[in-house]
Amino acid sequence: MPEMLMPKLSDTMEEGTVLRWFKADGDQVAKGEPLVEIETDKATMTVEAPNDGTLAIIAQEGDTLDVGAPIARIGDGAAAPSEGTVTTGIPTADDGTADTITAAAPTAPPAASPQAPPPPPPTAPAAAPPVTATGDRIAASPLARNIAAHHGIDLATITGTGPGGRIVKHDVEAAIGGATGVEPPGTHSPEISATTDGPAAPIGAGVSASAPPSTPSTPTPLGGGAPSQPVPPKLPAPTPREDWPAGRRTPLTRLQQTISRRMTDAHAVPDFTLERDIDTTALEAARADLRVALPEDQRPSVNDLVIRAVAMAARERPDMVSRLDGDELVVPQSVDIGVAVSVPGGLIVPVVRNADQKGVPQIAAEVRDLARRGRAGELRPDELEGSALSVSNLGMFGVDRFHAVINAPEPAIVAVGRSVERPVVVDGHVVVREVMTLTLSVDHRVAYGAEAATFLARIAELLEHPAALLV
Amino acid sequence: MSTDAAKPVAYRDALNQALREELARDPDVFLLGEDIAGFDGAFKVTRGLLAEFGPERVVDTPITEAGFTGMAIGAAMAGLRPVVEIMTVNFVILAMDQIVNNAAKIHYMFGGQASVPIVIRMPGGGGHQLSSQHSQTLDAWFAHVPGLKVVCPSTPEDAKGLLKTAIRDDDPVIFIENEGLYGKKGPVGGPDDLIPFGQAVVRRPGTHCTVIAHSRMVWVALQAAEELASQGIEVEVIDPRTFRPLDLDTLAGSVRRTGHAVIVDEGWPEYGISAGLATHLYEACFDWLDAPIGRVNCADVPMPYAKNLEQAALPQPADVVAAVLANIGRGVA
Repeated sequence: MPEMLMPKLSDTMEEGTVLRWFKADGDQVAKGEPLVEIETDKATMTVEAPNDGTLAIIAQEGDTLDVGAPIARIGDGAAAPSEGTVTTGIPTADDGTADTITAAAPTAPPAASPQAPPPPPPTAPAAAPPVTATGDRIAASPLARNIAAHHGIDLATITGTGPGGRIVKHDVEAAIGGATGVEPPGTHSPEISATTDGPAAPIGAGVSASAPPSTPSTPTPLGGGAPSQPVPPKLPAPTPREDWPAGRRTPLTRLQQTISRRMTDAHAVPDFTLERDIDTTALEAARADLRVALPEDQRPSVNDLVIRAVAMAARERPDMVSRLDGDELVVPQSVDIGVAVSVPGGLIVPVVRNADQKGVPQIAAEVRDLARRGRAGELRPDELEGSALSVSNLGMFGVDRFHAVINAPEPAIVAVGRSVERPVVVDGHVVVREVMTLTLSVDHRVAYGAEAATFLARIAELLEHPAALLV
Repeated sequence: MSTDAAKPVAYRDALNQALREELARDPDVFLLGEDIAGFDGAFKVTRGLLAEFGPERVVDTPITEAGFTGMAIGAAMAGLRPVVEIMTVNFVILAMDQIVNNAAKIHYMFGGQASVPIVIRMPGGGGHQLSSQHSQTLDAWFAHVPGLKVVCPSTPEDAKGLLKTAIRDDDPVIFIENEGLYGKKGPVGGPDDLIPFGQAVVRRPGTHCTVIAHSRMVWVALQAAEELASQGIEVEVIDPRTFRPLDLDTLAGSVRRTGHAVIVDEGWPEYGISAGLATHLYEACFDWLDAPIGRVNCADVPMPYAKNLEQAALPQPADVVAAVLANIGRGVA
């Protein structure tokens, strides 16, 4: 019965969370219809049914699983694993294999110490591999079969967590622990521990002049004999802060976890910031003019024009879009600009591809679309990856200027304050002009003060001559 | 161990020590190869030996791999103990007829009346932007041939101890060094410390997965093991050291303990060292395996010249980490 696995929906996705099943367990599903909503580290995506059949859900809503782990089976309803499965050959395997495993005295090599490895398992009569009633072979590792056979466990009652749903040692041990209450999951059964006492680096003397190896089996401390211990989880569980006052606890969403990690990474970037006031009087006038020419969904905001100016300047300045990879600088092949968009419970940075080659109306339309779909959680992961530089704008909230955090591994970010009337000295007279402050944060390993200053000056020049943005 | 053991010695100098000690110990031992006398060897392994032992025992040859290898095989049949240096493994291809058809066969075809106590030393391996023809790892070519012994030392101690064993062995020994290891420093044994063939060594103990690596790949595997340890995964790194004879007991014993095996081999993946070892382990450990055996090999391509492509083609620690994580899967979480 075909298994549906946790899909890899982005380059960086390692695990995903099942948010919602659109179908219930046992429902008939048709290939291509929306089946399940998966939350990745970057986005929430709807995944379609890969084939027709009856849905047997493995991963429940809220479950977080590694990429490649089975989340459901879709197939002939009769083949659902919970009904009508039988195994064959288990008693035979129990009689033969188990006795061999527990045999204390190895038969070969003759000179072996008591800690020598056990003899090879019997070659006959081999137990037939377990099958389900419908003939589907159960995927289980040889070791898992061996342990299950010894404990009389029916493999059909176990859910595999290995690659492709394969039943592995851990799964059988978990079942043993659950069934008997004798051993907690993850520990070794005594019988299997006995097999762990093999030799490590035998130390012997003499040179064998003949081809076949003849190796004295003197165990060394390296060999250990100690049964293996379960591996701790990759990420340590957070220790609750008992010294903090009590409060309501809310787990971070996957998006918030990603932001948390990325911002912590960004903290390692040695950055500096440059500020520059830009006269936006002409820019505002141009926006008013464009209102006459363009339909509403293509009319640029100040931010759209900043994106255009940054992209034009970046095209001229590969040094300002280079990113650091070890001891090398890498220049991206296209000028893709990230645009910070506030979403409920976080922040995303969708990307305007080839922004240097797109006109202002197209940029304006794309940014609107990206922001709308981003807030609705409809962006694909590839629309959130690979920007060369990012632009962040808090001007609409009345912020005059701010220092944005670099979206590593990008080398710089432009923070846009509000465009507002301010008194300015022009030719010895105080006049009222529209002014906006841009703050450029730069990775100092990639670019230096003077380079960044000329880059910012070029952005200012373009914004103060808005006709240049329209070519 | 002598008192020298504490002093770190470079891999090339460990080999030099072995050659010097064996030349001094046994008057039947002599060296021959291209540029090994007047020029001290392309990798300076034979430095100073011409001055010490003279041109009759440290012999420069023309660029004629088949010719001088055949000459050495004849000398070995006549009772001498020649140590041939082939400048790199890439040039031994010219001498394969002599090695496969003569060195490996004569003892067998003459009913044991003659033997060929020859050592053929050469470095293999890639990673130095020497392109397709000069970056090869051909260990498997020799390990394929019955009648040869195949030795691949990964440390200065093994380089010295195994070379001394090779020179004293009565069978033809293919001794494959690695260009990337010549500067590697470590302790070495004294004049009487021989390392026997057919004994693998545990380079790092561990419980979750067995990682088998030889020659330079031992160091790649150990780097990967460090990274994995930071994730709570302890791999057991085992160096077989010799492929003929092979210490299958130690390899299989470890795999039976861990239930998982990943083989790291700088050679190509098809029909090579990793493929042969995997077959041995499947046969010896099938009922102990919790996952298919993983392999990390050189990409199945002629070695690219470009540095980035070359690095991508060669096994890197990150490749080993990924292979181990994939092998262990979710079974240990």
